[in-house]
Amino acid sequence: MPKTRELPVSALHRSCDPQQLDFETTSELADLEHLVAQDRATEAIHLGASIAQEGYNLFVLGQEGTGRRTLVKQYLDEKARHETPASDWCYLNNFDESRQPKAIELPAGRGRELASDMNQLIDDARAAIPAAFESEDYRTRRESIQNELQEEQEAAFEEVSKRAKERGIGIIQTPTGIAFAPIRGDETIGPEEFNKLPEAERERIVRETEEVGKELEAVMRQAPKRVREARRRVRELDREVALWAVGSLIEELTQKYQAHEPVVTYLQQVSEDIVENIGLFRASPDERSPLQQLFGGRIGGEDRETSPATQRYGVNVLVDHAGAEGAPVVYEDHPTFQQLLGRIEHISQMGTLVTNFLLVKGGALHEANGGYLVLDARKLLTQPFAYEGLKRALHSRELRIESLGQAYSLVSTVSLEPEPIPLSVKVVLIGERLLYYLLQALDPEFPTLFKVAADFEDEVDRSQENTRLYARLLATLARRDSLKPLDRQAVARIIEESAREASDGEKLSARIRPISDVMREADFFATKAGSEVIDLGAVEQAVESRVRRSSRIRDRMQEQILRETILIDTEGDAVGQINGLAVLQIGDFSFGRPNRITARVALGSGKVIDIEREVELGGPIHSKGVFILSSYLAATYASDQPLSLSASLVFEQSYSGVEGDSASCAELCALLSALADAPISQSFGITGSVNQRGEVQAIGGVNEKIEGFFDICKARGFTGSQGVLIPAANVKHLMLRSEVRDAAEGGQFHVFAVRDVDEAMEILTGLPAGKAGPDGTFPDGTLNQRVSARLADLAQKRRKQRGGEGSEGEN
Amino acid sequence: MTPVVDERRVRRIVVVFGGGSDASVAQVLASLVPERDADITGVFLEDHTLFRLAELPFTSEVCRITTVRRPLTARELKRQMKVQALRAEQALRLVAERAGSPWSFRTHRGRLSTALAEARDVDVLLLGTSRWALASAGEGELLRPIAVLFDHTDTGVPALNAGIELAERTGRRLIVFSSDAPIEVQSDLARQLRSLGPKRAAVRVIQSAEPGALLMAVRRTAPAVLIVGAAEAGFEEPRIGSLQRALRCPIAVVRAASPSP
Repeated sequence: MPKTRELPVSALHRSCDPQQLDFETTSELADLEHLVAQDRATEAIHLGASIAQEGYNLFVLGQEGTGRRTLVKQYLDEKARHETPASDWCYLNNFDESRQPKAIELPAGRGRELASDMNQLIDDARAAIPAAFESEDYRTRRESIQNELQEEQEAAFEEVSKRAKERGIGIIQTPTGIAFAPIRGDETIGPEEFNKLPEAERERIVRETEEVGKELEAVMRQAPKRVREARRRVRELDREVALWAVGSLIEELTQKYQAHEPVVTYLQQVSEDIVENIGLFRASPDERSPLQQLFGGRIGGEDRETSPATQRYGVNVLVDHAGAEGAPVVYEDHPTFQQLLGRIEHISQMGTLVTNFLLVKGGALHEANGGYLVLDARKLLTQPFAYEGLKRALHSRELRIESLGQAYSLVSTVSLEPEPIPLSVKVVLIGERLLYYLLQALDPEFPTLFKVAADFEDEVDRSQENTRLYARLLATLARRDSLKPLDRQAVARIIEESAREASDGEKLSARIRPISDVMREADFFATKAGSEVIDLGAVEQAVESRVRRSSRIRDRMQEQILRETILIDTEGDAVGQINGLAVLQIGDFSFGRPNRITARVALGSGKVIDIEREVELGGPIHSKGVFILSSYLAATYASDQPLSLSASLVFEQSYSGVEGDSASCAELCALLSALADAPISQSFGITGSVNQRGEVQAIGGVNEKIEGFFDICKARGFTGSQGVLIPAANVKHLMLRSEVRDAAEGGQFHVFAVRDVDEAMEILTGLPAGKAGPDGTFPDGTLNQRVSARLADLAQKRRKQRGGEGSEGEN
Repeated sequence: MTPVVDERRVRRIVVVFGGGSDASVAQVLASLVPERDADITGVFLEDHTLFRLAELPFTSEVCRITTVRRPLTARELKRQMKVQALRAEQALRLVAERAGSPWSFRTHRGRLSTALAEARDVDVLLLGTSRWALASAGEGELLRPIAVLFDHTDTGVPALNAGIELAERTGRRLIVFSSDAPIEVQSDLARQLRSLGPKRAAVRVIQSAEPGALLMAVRRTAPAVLIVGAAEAGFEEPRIGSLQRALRCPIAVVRAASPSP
């Protein structure tokens, strides 16, 4: 076995030396104020948050747990603190069109003040107006009007009655009107008596009766006019009294809000409206109808909120920034359409749903107006119509509160149409990369509204500087979560775990969440052990505990191999058979497992059959790998003759899909073994993809794959010759666990880095691969020569076969 | 034997409907009998003069609502009277049932005097306005005061007491009219009225040689009801009839409580 490709133990893991950390515990380290090596994303956030122009909203993209939200929050909170507090917004009754409440803007805190002042005004008016209308002066003036009307009416009737009486005609009320008839004294003349009168007298009476009737008609026609006039005068009186009662209250408020023109205008309207609706203040709450009492919900006196006066003159403080220090930064965790854009609520009143301007409720956009709104992109996109609503608001730069039914013209029920509010907000969406690219590709409006992308790194360089910053990050996290401080051995171990999380010895994972989870669990073990600090043992326990919790499926799979239900050899030799290495991810846990790959060769038309693909269990990348190895075969061994084989490749005992090209090197090795009839040592597992030139290329999950094969070998007992072949390009990614390193140290397990197929085959078969000479032939006794000879033999047989077929054809 | 004043509440009330303001009469009645212990009799008076009038061939009436003139026939009048009587009975029943009082109702065709003769023994007689009095539209009904005609005799006292009670119960103002009250009577009156509260009651003394001056003063205040005391003998028709013709409001005639036997 050539030892030259075997990796030294030091290459299997890039350790973090605790001695290089210049502290004893993290309590000595200062907090980290910014994330490690996220300069690109930080710059983008600064830029996006600072450009006020339309469309400069942010999409913060990156992996979950990389601190996107924390960074955005830190930056926006700090930036907003130095900005002007946003305005308060209130909805007020529109006295001209109550369906369209008016929106007014006030400086922060003054909305609440106005609401309180208006409530006070209502309370004061409730006392002042009834008092004014119950005053003796008012009653006297009103009675005077009534009496005047009465006197006029009676005088008119009296006049008619008097003249009628002079003519011998009496006027009398019937159940429905007024009749007139000849009288004598106080008695009416009956028909008998009337008929006894001389004809001239009878004619006179009829004539006089007719004239009296006409006069009475004229008087009665004047009556409604007089009544109207009296009512008008009573109304005038009511207005005058009401104005006197509320005038000083309104005036006081007008002075107070004179700097706010819309409020002054509104107060003027209130003054005029109160005068027109005095009844709202004069009616006692106890005067509600029995029906209202029955269905209105509350029995007894109504409170201020439900009083008709409040329902008309109250103030709906939609956005209240009282006490705010700086611009608002709003984080909406449940971004439904209504939570974002507001809603119009209804209340049940006598069995009917009703609403008014006081039931208009603002959304997160209202709260964030004048500041920043942070949303989770996935949550936003999964809420029906929420994304569309957000875009519409950002495009129109105004907030229009309407129900979904109204917005999409699904219902035509009469409801409120509150006046739109101007919108000036910076929206920050936080989401995965996939969402960002999908939105870029599929939504033409997205790029115009979210012009700035802040792309978070998934991993950062494991430089000296970043290692030091990372230690400070751990110190910050420990303090933030009230954990014990970590000693430097624990910090070094977590840094190694972070590199393992990044699957790269030269990188650190930018995902903070998994690391902070390890810290919390390590804190638990440290506490359990009675330690004052989180030490190396606690971290090791936490890491092992996490693996153990997640590894049930891995253990069951390994058990099936050990019980030989799944056939994997870890010693001996076999032709056309090799241990490929696969990686499986279940949830957030990845693990490797060996997989037997076999190849069979026969005379054929030059096709390499990928059985996985034929049965549609192979993915496109896997198929690509198989095509590449076919091409390698043809180019390397049969450039001047037809490739006359029929080869088949299969992942044995694989019953689910196979994807990726990381087994293509293993497949090629199995095929070459079959062609050369050279047995492959089953002590090895191999991973790597291969290109058309036979070079072995890097693959993912190298650590898990090695450890997967290692676990099987260890369980069966090391033979001393077992090991794994990996692409040389993957050496830098190695962060193998300590027992693998220990086994390598003891010569029980070997890790080889190979650059091409020839190197791999030499290790696997123990045969020299052989380099092609200038004439393209390989030296005798080499593996490649045996492959080449076999292919030449197959080609010759194929030619013969075709020749025979041709003769037959000619015959 | 010292007479003992019977302080029981009103027991027998006769209400005469059939005038020009049955609705107002029902309202006054409701204020008079808020509690039990009243025995109410309703009498709907079908004025015989109206029927005589309707039999004339040229009689017409002007509708109060539309002011349109139309012929008036006896048949039409009879139908209208029936409806009016039915409505009066309903109003009476409503008031009586609400107060839990026993009640009866009947129709009487004839003169007021015959109706009054039957009501000799009652405690209160309540009369609507006369058909001969042309009332104006009922604007400002709630503001109308209670009026009491006080003649500082024994019959005036129960009228005053009834007026004070009614004013308290309805929240209306009380105006007491007196024609020739001496100073001490006036101050005594003022003292009694103080219990109603400031500016809730007034005394108007009319000292005029003109016999109708007092009634004119009452008419000008347009009261919701005028309360008068009954003569010792009962409800004599000439006095009541002339009051009814002169005024345009219901009249409550109150009799002094009978001494115990």
